[in-house]
Amino acid sequence: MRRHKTAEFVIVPTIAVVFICFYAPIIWTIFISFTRSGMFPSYSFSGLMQYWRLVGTERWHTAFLNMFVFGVLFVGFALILGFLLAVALDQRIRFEGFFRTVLLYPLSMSFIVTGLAWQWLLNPAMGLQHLVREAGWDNFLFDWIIRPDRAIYTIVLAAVWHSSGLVMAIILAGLRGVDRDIWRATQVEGIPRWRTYLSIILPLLRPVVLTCVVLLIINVVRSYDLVVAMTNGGPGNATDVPGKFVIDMAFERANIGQASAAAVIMLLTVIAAVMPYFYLETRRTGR
Amino acid sequence: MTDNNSPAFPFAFSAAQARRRRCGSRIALYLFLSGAAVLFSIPLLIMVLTSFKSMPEIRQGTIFSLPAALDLSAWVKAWSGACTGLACGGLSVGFWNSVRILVPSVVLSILAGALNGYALALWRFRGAHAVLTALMLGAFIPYQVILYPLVKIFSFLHLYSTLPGIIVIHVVFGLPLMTMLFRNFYAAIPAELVKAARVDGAGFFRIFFEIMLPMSTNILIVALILQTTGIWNDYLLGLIFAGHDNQPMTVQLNNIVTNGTGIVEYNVNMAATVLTALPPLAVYFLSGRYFVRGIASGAVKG
Amino acid sequence: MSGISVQHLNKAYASFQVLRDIDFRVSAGEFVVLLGPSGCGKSTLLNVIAGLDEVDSGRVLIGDTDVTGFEPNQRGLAMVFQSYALYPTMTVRRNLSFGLRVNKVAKPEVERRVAWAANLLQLTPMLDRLPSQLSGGQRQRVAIGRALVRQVPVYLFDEPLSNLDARLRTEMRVEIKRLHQELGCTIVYVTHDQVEAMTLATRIAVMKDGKIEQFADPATVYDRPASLFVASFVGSPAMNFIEGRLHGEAAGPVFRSGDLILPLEPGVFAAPPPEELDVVLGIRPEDIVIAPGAGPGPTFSAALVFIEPMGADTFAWFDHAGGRLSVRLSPTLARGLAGAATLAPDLAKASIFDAATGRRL
Repeated sequence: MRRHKTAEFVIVPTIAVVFICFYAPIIWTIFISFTRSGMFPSYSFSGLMQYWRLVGTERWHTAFLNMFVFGVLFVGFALILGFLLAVALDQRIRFEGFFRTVLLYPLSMSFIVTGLAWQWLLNPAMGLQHLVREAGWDNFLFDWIIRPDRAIYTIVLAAVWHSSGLVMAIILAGLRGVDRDIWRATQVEGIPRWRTYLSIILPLLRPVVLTCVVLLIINVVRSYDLVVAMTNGGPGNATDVPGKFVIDMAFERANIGQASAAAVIMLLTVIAAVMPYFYLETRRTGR
Repeated sequence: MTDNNSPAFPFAFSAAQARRRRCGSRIALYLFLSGAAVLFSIPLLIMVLTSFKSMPEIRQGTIFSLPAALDLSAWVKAWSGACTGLACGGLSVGFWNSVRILVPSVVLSILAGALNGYALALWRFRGAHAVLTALMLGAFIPYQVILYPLVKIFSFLHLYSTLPGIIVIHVVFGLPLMTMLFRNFYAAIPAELVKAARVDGAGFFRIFFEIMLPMSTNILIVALILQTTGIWNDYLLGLIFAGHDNQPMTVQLNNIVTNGTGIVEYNVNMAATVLTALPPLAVYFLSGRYFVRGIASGAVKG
Repeated sequence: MSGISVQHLNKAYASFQVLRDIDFRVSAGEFVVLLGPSGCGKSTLLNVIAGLDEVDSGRVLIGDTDVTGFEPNQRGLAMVFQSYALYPTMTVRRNLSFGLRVNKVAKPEVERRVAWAANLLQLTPMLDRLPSQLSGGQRQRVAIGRALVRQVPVYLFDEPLSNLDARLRTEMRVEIKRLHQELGCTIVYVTHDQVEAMTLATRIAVMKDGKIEQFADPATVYDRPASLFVASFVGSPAMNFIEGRLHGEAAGPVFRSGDLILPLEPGVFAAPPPEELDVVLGIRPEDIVIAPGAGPGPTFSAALVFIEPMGADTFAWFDHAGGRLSVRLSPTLARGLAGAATLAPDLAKASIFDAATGRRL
């Protein structure tokens, strides 16, 4: 019918754009990861060659492992801190607006700014270490940002600073949506407040928490800017992540095959992380 | 409700005991929040402090020592004289590039998202659900997976490394979130409103511009905040698609700070960093609850 | 002025048949109510007439024009919605005039009609307010006004009163009836409220499962329901039903149910009844009286279960052979009631339904 044609006419370009800019490139990348492509795309099939080579690359090992170390610590700490802050803000405290503003402002800053700020703060010669030594502890050591075995943890620190406000805001919104009668009921039954949060509210907020987890995981897999600004992958390759590995391979080292194979593994990681979420979502709405 | 903390069996405690316990937990609560607030503000604080110091001051003092005088020279240099490689035009170049990228990208992506969301939510047609799913999944794709082929497509279209190119990229990458945001907003509007307008004789665009858009002020503000901060803060897309002449502020900032040759001027670096952070910070402090609503709705749907 | 003709409409959503061969005619100036429980297809039917929903087969004619493929605004009709669907960012004045402006009516004419409708519906003082600043009843009147200014021959109402409280609903019902009489337009009105249907309609179409069960004037629908469904849906409390068997005897047809034997009058049947059939006898609460002793007609006794005073009337509920029977009484008569009573049904007003098909005999 004519009236629906206008709506379809509006949507068709969107479909085209989504296909051309999202799905066709994914297919192309997957395809290239199975070819001999090096500096230029090549279309001769080579099976899993790119993947075998990737598995044999030291730098990829570091990057891939870092993604998990960074991911587990970042998601864990951001969730715990965000949840505690949200619960604290939900106690009818004074100056709630002030606290919320201060705790959430890092989120408005870019990862580049975040990385540069923390790089400066953690600079051993000028930053925190220097400060504590000047205060009297001459042997104080906090040089993690230049130690290959510790530098990844400083990135976790900066990322937690940046994103726990996000968790706080989302969970706080969830807490505000909890039926007030639940509080009245637990009060009548004499259940301690912390117990109510742990045994009743937390399970109730499961979908909200799950949303946070998915969001944070996507940020983990995508992470690039923060690492670039803070350590640029260094010292050496110690803080390399898959997101940076792919960009370097594609745009600096001109190795499209390796970039594509690594990108496909990133994609699979996201799918593995998001799949359970979608499964739960559809099951919840399907009911 | 202050009596939320009172025990279930009041007679088991004296009133004074109960009050003392409540008071103790309140103090702990405020201590926790204040501690967190202090720790959260440290990075911004030292950035600002450093930016007002002179280099000798920085070398002698600590990060927390206060500047002797309000020295604005680092700010001036960061804005108009800092070097990235050979060019020494300062961050102002990147600032204006970012503005040129930001304004059309924000306007176009919001318009596209609103129109798509409206069409998907209020006009039923075949395949609407599939379109929605495809868009939603698009929001989950790591950029790295598609960047290289996108570069190829854009150079084929002669858009690579151009201002229109980076604008199109921002509109495209904004499409999933913006469409979901508006679709969810319009889905909550009673379908009868569209029916009434159709009986009155209004068409697709007339209903959109005369009835739907005037109703959408709140969601438009949320979208504006999301896109403004998101696009301003982007680094990766700007780095790859904008081209050397259109480098946004974030890219230029990183170049200034990390590619500095010779002596590292920490005060200039920090002034530049604060300058880059200022526009989104201003948006954040001015918009308050809309920002929270934005990340909440963007988050839950995105 | 034009009537509406709906011919053999069929519509399905996936495998669910919403409309099944709907076919009826509305004469010009009629007030037809589509009555039925939720999900019976009445709103879909109205949307189809409005042109807001497409059909799989069948035609809709307004006047003499086949409008099946027409846009809603090309059909010469206006519509009032359940949620009112007022444009929230427009003032009452702009709400009223939107349709006219879209259809490029000249400005003075727009103003004239808005003033006319506002006057008719007592909306003049609130023309410059926003819908959010109006009460429910006022919004309802704006919604009606928005339809009236269009000055079309056909008006469609989709459960317009269901969001109002009981008192306002009664007021607006009277208002709508007055407007219909004043304007003489053709109205199709959807509701699930039988009181609205009975009071407003010149004819009622009772719908169930996408079909029209009965299409007749209110008195006929009430007194001679075409099916068990119509009988149970219209009237409150519902018609009493007694299952039994029909026997053709020399003196005429007789209804038997256990010990109960009721001779039936030939007048209750539309066609000569069959000799033997499982049937359901239906009788309205007001068609049973409590007999002081043995009366002229057949009587039977039943045990009183409880009494429901409703103000003007009282309903007494009896137990008869395991089934419930309600009887409408005056409150004074009800006061003396206790234990068991002798009931005398007015069999001239009984309805007999085929137990297998549910159709009236």
